[in-house]
Amino acid sequence: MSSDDFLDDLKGAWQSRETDLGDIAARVADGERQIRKEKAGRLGSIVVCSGACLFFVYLNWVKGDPAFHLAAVAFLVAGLLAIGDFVFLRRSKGSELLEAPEDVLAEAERQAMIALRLLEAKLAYAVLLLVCAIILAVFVLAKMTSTWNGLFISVIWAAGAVGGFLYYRRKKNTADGELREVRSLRADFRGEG
Amino acid sequence: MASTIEHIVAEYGQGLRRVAAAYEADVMLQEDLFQEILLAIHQALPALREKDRLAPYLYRIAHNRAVSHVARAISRKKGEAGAAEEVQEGEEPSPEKVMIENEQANHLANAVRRLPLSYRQVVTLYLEDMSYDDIAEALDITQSNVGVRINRAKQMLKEMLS
Repeated sequence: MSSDDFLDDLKGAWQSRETDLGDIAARVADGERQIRKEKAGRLGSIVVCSGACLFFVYLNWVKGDPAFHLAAVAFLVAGLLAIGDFVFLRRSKGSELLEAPEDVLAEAERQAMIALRLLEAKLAYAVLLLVCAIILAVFVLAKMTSTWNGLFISVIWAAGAVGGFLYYRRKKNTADGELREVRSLRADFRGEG
Repeated sequence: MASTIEHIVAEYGQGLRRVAAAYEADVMLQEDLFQEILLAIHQALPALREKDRLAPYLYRIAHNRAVSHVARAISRKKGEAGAAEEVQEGEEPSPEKVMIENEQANHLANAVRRLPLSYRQVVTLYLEDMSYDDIAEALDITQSNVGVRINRAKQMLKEMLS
């Protein structure tokens, strides 16, 4: 059997795999809904962080409590990270997938790298939040802020910082793996032929 | 030329679904990937309408989408792929001939998934009856490059399937 015959014989087996494709319009609509949800989630995070930042700026202005000042800074940084997600993290559009495979893989590597950097920034933010919680606890001990406000906020921050750190560390491991995989696929694609 | 996603899927749907199977072993993840491919094609429809030939660009989108999907999926659950499809597809009782065909098709799909990316792409397009010219256009490589890759892929497939 020649090589060509060999592959041509496999065509029958390959093309015998037929599947019920389902309701195509519904599947496309479902996919579009998912993208809108992701976008709305990211926009929602920006709005919540900005709103909370402004709220604590106002409280700090009215009450002059350094706990609120710290809270405003913490939400400002969180808002900037949310903006980073919204601006830099996105799925490639269909028309971009019409580019040559090598270019698409290069873009996938760039996106994976950005996602990794954003996760590293979030890990750093979790550490910053823990530092803020400790500073706030010091404020409480030094009676520079109200005990209730200070303790309430510092406990929430400490819990958020630890939970966030663990969550983002797990996501960073996944992102590391994705970047390695994209690089390997790219090398695989470039290295042959 | 087909102008809606339904028309495109009626003509190329099974082939595009098989592209998903060439990248993803798990049946549920194949469905997710196929949905992503459909969505990408739907989004690219205005640009696709400007192309003289549809097939190379449909398959280019499918392969490009599959590659990024696989990079994400593999990093999430490296090493788990492989068993799910055979278990699920084997559960359904079918006549002997259909069973043998299914077994051959699954065996072939598993072998294709083990090929390096550059070989997997040319082979899946070739198995979809595409010409060297169309494969070259889909993957943005030369026709001689297509020939080289197909020959190497054939040797690897022969070893895997023997």
